[in-house]
Amino acid sequence: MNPALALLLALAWLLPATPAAARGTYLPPGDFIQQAFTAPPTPQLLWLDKEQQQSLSTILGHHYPALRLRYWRQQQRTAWVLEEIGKEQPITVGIVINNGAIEIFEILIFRESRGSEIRHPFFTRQFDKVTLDKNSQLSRPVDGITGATLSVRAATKLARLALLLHQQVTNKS
Amino acid sequence: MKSLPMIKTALRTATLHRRLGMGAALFVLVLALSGLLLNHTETLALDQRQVNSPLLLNWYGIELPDQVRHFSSSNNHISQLGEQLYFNGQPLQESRQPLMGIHSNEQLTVIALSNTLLLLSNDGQLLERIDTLPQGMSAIDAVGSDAQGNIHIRQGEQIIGADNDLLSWQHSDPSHNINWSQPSPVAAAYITNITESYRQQTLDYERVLLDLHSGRLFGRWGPYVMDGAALAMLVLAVTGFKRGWQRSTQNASRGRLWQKTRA
Repeated sequence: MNPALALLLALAWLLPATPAAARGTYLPPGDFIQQAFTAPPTPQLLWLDKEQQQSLSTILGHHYPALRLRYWRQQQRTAWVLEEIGKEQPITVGIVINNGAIEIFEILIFRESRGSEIRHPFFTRQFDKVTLDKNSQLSRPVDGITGATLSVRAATKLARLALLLHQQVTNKS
Repeated sequence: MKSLPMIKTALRTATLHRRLGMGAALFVLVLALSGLLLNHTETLALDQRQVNSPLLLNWYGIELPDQVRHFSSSNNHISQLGEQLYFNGQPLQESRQPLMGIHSNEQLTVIALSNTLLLLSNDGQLLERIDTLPQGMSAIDAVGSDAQGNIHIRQGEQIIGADNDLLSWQHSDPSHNINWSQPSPVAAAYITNITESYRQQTLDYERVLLDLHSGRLFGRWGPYVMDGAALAMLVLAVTGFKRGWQRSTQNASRGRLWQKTRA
């Protein structure tokens, strides 16, 4: 068979399967917490007051839908399971912050039909050791992915959110 | 002087341009207007605006899911219609996970989905969404409470109980008398209310405009009609350019002839 034709046929066979295969749970949130700590601590609650709600809204661009958040903390290390809508469906991300810098950034559940490329390490490792500057922006820019703009935007917002929340719970104590 | 075949070609181009322009005008108008609106989807919040028109909803064949899952606890009601959850008749949020039950006490309401717990305050505000199930539990079959009002969840034979804030979990004794949330019948008026709301939430204007732009709104042959309109635009561009070029050469030769006559 002509190699070009064979390549086209292979692509035609692969393409329809790609979006369906990309959705799903890559790591259940409970397992993420188990993996993030040697002995997972009991979760704690952060009740969001008006000021905190305002700072969360500034990052997300909309009101945060819940009144409280749970997190896991061992000394200066905190873990968060957060959600943000990419285009239509929420993307669940697990983030571990250590001493104000991102240590683990992992896409746990992806429900959108497009943009699941953000689950790959080539994207998530951009968040390694990223901190929050005084303007609540990431200390390093995150490269986008063509065709996954909204998913990249949601992931970046969640990274900023987790860093901000970490600052709030560690400064409080 | 222009030759006869050249005049004939020019006339044919003009006729083709005119007829094609008239024939494709409506479709080109639809393509242009829908394209313009789609270019500003976010500004116009087209994906946030829901279609209420029964005519359009019927045209799309939006039908209601066969089953309504419904649970009640202490005058609080939770229902699932398709992927939409309704708390006391109001849309709560979408969920692909099946609804497994509800438990309300004096402080909060716990809604169990197959992999998530939603905690609501007594006035219906979302307190928290818990996606991290207790260790060893991969799904929730049911939610219930014991005589002291403590929340328990169950997967198969495994029963786990929570503290007041649902922060820590412990294995429960299966012999405890736990009142598990059970599906309950729904009043006809309640169903009518949520089904109407469901229909109105299913379709947004961005989808309608996308389908109008691509022609899919008009069924199987719609995209081919829009393909024809797009091709007509291409031909119109070519014939328009050709006519313009023919006119400019015609004017130039007329000018030369006039100059010769004057000389």
